[in-house]
Amino acid sequence: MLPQFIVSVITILVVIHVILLSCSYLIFLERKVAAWTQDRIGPNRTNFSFGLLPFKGKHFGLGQALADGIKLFFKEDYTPPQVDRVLFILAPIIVVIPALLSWAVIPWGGYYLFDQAFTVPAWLPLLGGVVVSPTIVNVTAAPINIGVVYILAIGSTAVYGVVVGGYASNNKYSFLGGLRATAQMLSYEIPMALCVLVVILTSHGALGADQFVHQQANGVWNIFYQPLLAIIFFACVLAECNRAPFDLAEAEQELVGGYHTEYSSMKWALFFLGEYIHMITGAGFFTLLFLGGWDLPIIQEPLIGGLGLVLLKFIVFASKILVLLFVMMWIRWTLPRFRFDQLMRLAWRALIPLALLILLASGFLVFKQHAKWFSPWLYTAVNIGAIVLAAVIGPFLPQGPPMNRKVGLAGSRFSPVV
Amino acid sequence: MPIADEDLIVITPTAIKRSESTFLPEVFMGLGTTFKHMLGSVARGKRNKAMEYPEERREDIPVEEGGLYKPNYRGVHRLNRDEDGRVKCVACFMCQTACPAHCIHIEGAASPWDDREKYPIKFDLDELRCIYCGMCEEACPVDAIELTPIYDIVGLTRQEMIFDKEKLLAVYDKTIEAKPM
Repeated sequence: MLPQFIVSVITILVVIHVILLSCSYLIFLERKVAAWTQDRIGPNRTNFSFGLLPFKGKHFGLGQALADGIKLFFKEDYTPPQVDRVLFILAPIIVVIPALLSWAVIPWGGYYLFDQAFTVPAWLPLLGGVVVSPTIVNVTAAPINIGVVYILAIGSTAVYGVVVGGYASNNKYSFLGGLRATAQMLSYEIPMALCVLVVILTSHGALGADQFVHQQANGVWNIFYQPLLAIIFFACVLAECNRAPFDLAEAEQELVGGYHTEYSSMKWALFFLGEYIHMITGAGFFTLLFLGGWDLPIIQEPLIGGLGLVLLKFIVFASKILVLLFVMMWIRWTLPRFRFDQLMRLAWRALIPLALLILLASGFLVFKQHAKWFSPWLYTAVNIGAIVLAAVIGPFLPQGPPMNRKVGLAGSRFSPVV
Repeated sequence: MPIADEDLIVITPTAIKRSESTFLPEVFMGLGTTFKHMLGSVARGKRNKAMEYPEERREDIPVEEGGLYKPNYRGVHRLNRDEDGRVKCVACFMCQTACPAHCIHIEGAASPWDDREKYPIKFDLDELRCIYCGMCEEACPVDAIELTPIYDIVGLTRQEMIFDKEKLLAVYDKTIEAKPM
């Protein structure tokens, strides 16, 4: 217990600071990616002097992230008079807490080996003088054996903050944003959970986050076995953290910021922080399930090792997350936002049936996995088959009622009456 | 007036293809397009037209590439001097009359010199009010008022941006090389 406790505390301290600092730089990266896609240069001037320190040069604009943070601290924190004051203050907290909790089970660095017994230095309070015997521990904050279920459970509570914030603001835009967030979260939880279910099924019923990683480290990454499932899951992750093209809850153009319309200063920044931590967690979850966690392809790294190996694995994990975050931003600046009925249709008419189909077929394959003809690549075949099937029979399925069509008003030149 | 039927152009959107209706291929094609733009921007290729303003200026690049054509650019005004260094203006009020924004205010007085009757003792030009149409330059019978290619003038107050005679003459002294009279 004790070695695990020490490692957990160190992991929490390291990861929380890495995440919080990287959030401000993710905003910087987001602005850069936005600029690059729009043929601009992006923020590149703010250096680290902030008008006070004797720094010269531009530092590639890296000071911008910190300057943004400082600005947010010093802005006026205005609470509009008509809001529900308790909930209004509570909402940003409810957003950030699940975001900070949900990465607890992500196995950042594999395993760490205490190869010799050692004594905790006597000057430490409580633990001083305790002898630790050689043991292997997880480099994660909370090594529980229902890791993925935990992430799913905690991740979906983040919507409460959005809904409460939208309700408490006493503003119609905010309220609409909250409503949209609720419906969206309800719809996209289902395909997400189905995707996780399929991966659990094909990973021999593993539930602990670290088990997924070594199964993929020993074999092939799940993304090659389940390409379509990975895409569905990624779409759900995007919807879960309210990212474009699923950012209907905030929708700057229609809802002037949606649920955070009435928020300012650090309360607003907490919403923003929550969104970005959510993105990191979502990307971590995706890496865990489909990209092999800390596994480097080609190199067969040892499973258990010292500090160097743990650091290497941490860096590999972090860079995979970074790539995914880049993809999220890339998608944000490529795809337009869905209309609300399109959003619902995508979930209920495309993602859920496809995920169910893959679940059914994968379940059958798992049932037959001791048969002679079985090969894990059949999962890939199932995924490709699902895409083809969707493209072939999709147009023949009953269409929904026509929505948002042009209605001919009597007297207009589109009118069928005239 | 209703639009005549023969003037209407009816456009029927092409039917959505099967590959398009599944979204996925189109999404990846769109991602490819934006990625191309990203690569072009990171490399500062010819697609990226953004300039870093105070260091890079439009007047420094050729006109064909979107540069600024200095000879007919209409920027801040100047009052020209004649060969003797006197103000060239004869206080005829032509520019003040021609100005559509009413931003020029002249007070004339009897000239101390023999070659002209009047000269301006006061010549105020509100640079914030001006619309930089160049009508004053067109109207001037003695080519006294001109517009220079300078566009980055700043001031901390509105009062500061009302250029008086000395200031306008100072602009002339500064820009005489850039735009010979």
